[in-house]
Amino acid sequence: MEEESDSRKINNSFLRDHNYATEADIISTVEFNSTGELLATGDKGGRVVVFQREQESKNQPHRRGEYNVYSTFQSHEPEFDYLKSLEIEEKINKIRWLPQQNAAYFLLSTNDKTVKLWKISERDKRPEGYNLKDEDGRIRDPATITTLRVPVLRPMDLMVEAAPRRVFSNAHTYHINSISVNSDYETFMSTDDLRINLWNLEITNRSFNIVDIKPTNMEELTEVITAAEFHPHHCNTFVYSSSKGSIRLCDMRAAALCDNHSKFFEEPEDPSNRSFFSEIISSISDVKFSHSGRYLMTRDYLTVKVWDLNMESKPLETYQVHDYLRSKLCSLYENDCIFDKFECVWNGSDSVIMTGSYNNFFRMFDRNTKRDVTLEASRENSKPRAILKPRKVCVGGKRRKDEISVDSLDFSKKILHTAWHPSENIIAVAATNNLYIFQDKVN
Amino acid sequence: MGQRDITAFEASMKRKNGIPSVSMCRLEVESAAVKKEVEPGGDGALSSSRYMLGRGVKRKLSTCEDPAQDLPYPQQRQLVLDLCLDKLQSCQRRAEPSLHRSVLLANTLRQIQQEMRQEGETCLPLAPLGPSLPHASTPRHFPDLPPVPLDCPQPLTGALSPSFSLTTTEDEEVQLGGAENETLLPSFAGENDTRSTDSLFGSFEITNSTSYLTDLALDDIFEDIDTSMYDSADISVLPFPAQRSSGVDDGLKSLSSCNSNSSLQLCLSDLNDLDHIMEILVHS
Repeated sequence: MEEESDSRKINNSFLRDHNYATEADIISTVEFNSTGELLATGDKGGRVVVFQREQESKNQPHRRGEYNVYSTFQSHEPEFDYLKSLEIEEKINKIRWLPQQNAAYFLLSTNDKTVKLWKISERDKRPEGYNLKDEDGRIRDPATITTLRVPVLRPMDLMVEAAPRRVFSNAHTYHINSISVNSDYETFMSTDDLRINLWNLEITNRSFNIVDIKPTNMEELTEVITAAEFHPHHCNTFVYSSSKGSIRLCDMRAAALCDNHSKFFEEPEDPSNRSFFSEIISSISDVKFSHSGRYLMTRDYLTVKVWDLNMESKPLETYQVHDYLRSKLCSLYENDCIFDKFECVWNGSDSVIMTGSYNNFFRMFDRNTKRDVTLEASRENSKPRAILKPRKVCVGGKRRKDEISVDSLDFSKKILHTAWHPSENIIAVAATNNLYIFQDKVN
Repeated sequence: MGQRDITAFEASMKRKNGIPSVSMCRLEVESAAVKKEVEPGGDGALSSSRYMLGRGVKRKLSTCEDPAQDLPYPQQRQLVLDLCLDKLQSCQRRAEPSLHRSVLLANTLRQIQQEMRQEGETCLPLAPLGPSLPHASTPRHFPDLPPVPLDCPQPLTGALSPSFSLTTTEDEEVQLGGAENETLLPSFAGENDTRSTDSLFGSFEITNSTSYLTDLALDDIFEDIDTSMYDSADISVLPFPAQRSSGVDDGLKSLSSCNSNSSLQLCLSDLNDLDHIMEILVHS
């Protein structure tokens, strides 16, 4: 990243670029591809919508590339498991892009049970001048053909097609919560509550189980896997997080079944903060490697923690996302908000981390300056091109103007999914069924 | 971020609103709680009126805090325990049972029960506050025992005593159903005290086994038992033991309807071993 963009470490000058209202459904995942040119969103209805950044034009240099809808397709359909009398939701839990190797784009999308590989390709030419059929596709009477010609390719309107190329199914008994593409670009892993499976992208009828924490006696089950990710550079290393607040790093070279971890990251509990809900709020909802591969970030209910891979005893940094909720845990438990799973993201240079909160707030933390900001993603509060105003939550005492008190927070408006462009200061924020894209202000 | 940026930001804020903005440097969100003023409760999700917890309890100065936080510790704990059970029950009825959520709930419940046990509470406190739980049939003074779930046949592995085999006689079939409920609880724990926690999780997991485990194939045992009559809406609480004269189906139905914890608890406290139960069943 350039020096100028680095100096604006916490971007208090994000401006709202567009508000893409996908009214029909709640967005369940957001992901930029590796170049940032494409942005994919998955929703509760099983659809994937891909946005493409338009090329920056020289005529309007102040207008940065905006994201427009590129492709929309139905990735997963609802299914019914007759044996267990259970409905399998079509909600897209995660989308992960594959690195681009040719003109087509590939992504993996998953619901609770099945992972699919989708190919998104463009078609802007079509062959014309067939001998055996006419332009409408009707078969020509061979008796009428007197000459032969070679079909030629003629330009047509751009068409973007999405086709499922692989379907990886029947490998998970429990609900899939993560997928992660390996840096070798040949394998990926899918993670459910108790198991992690390793797949080859080419082979759909076989997968390898690499982690299995299911106890022989299900009554002894006290811990589930909540998220997993491959190391960005070392194709043999991955981490998985648990509902008890621990992270295990595993090396696939050690054994075929990586039940024994290589490293175990856990922070001892602070006895002064102990409550009935200590375990629930320690459950890690998301784990992400930094782009450098040196650090790990975890999100639990109230905090975001950055870990150094070389230090297992405690995190390097802890950031309070919404500590004012600590005294409200009982109510949040009753209304089930305490089980909300927030995600977290790094920026391209690993200097800023971002995560969501309630009331359509999302938070950014600058790791270097230790500054943080709370921003809001809502239509009422931001007009296009307007600079986002930092928000503040008042915990007690006199409430200033423009501040919002904890009791007025809307807990139905939660920002669980966010994404950060891999190299620029562009963020995508999913607020229920609306997608907001914010860009850095151009000076 | 240099000073320059903050200044520019504040300047634009001033232009916009005419009010000096809050400086970015101060992290007031994390400041220690200051003396709180009484604020009128908002419409927010956390207002006490929604949870009926404020009734009867004098509102204290710290209205920003959770109303439940003001309760004395044992009652707080009881409240959480009740919520736990409530959620675990509703877990099974959800279209999308979540193992993660269930495990967290079960762990919380176990932790509370262990704590209560350690304090040697023999008489469980009756909480004066009454957030009315949807299941009025579950008396809160027997929180240890979950209502026996109704909506699926109960596949049990080791829980079924070998003496209970599925035969054609009415008596034994009812015994099978009856013993099911009995063996469900004692089989998982050695003594009375630990029974409650283990049985909760065990029974919870058992009922979920049709959802989560593919290797338990005990449905064949229940092949010829018609479970179509099970409907939680129709179940009425009947005293245990079941009336066997009305036939297998009715027997099982009424047995499974014995979800009232009080009757189960009463029976269990009196009839602890299997032989004794058998005796009662045969004679009644």
